[in-house]
Amino acid sequence: MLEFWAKFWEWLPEVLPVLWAAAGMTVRVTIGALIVALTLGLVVALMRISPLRPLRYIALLYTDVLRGTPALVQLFIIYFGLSDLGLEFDPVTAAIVGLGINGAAYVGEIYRAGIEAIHRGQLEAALSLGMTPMKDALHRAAAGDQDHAAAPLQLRDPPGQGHLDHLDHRRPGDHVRGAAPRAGDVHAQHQRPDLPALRAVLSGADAAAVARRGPPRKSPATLALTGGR
Amino acid sequence: VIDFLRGYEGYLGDWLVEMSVASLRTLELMLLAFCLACAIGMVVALLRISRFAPASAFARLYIGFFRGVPVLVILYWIYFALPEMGYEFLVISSYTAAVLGLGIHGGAFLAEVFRSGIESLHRGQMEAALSLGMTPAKAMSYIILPQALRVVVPPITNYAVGLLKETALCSIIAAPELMLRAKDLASSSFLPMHAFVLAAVFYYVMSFPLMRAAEYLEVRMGRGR
Repeated sequence: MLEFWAKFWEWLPEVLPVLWAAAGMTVRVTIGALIVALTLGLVVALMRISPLRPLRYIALLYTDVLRGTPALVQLFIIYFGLSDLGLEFDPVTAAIVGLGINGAAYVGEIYRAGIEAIHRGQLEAALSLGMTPMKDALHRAAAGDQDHAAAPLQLRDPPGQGHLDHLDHRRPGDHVRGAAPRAGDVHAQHQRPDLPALRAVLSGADAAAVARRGPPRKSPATLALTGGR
Repeated sequence: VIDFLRGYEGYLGDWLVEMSVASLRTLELMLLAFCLACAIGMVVALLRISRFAPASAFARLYIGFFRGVPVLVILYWIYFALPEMGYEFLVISSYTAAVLGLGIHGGAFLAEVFRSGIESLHRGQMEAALSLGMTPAKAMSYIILPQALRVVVPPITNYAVGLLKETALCSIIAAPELMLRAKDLASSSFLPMHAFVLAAVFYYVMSFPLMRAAEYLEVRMGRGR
């Protein structure tokens, strides 16, 4: 035991710079994979809610397969498998791509839950104002509000930040109270269907928060970093 | 695609058998680690909500530490680093190390799940049980825990899915399971793509029912609340 620690202290100054440099690489890979996951995840999420059935199925297959197999296997397929087929990556690229497409499956579900947490009326209202679904309605009603929804939903939108404030159905002061939705509250109705999706990607550690008020306290980035667990 | 499938020719029969056997080891590994994680998680959760300060401080430390460290690092500690301490009993097989590592890591995770499940219940439940003359231990085991179970089952199922995938990491310390087998087959046949894709199929077949169960339980347990 003593011998072990003596050796340890002797080694420490030697290995510390090496580990420090390697930690930088860890951060780089994390950020790279995060960027891939957040972008690709958006594509997956939009495909998931697309009116075109084939697109929906492809996205569903993607999420299901990527979440149903270990990340390690995916990395091995990308790094060793693809090089066998003549497509060679350097290890770092393979790691970023592998973790990125793995993360996209989880992030996509988070986005989707966020988008679906927005009341349908938001889209309907946007369309009735003459917006086209793609450019305006999706963009504003979904992508804009989704930040608030996918992140701490219990905080609600602070007034003045939502793009469609004038259409806001929320009661004033809701964001302050941050209380659990009451029965009959419009939130309670449109949040409920998203619980399974959110819980699936949620770390179970938030079970209580979920049980009490539905969506999680964690931001999408945290969820992506913890791999949805 | 056809060309790709043709690559399996002459291997598929052997591989299916070998990988099925290895899958059983993976399932066994997962099950053992799951039981260990549940046991550790329950104990740590109870320590965490204990009013005895050192106990809850220890639990907090345990949870914070083991949730902040990758499973792979824990596995390396148990398998490679601990034997360096020089005690005979610390030299364990890679399989035992895998069970311990996943269990210890999962324990920290499940402790938080259990704690949040317990704390999701209204305080009045505990107070009512105590006012009926139950001892705190009895109130815990007859009133609180059964109700908490319902909150906690869906995240636990999700944890099981995650655990199944985490077992793949144990191949790195050479624990005999599916991923290690796939690596062996890949290097002996020089067909890594084929071997790993087949391994992915095996993992998917195992995790699919679990994922569906998790979805079902979320709906089922969410009812009436």
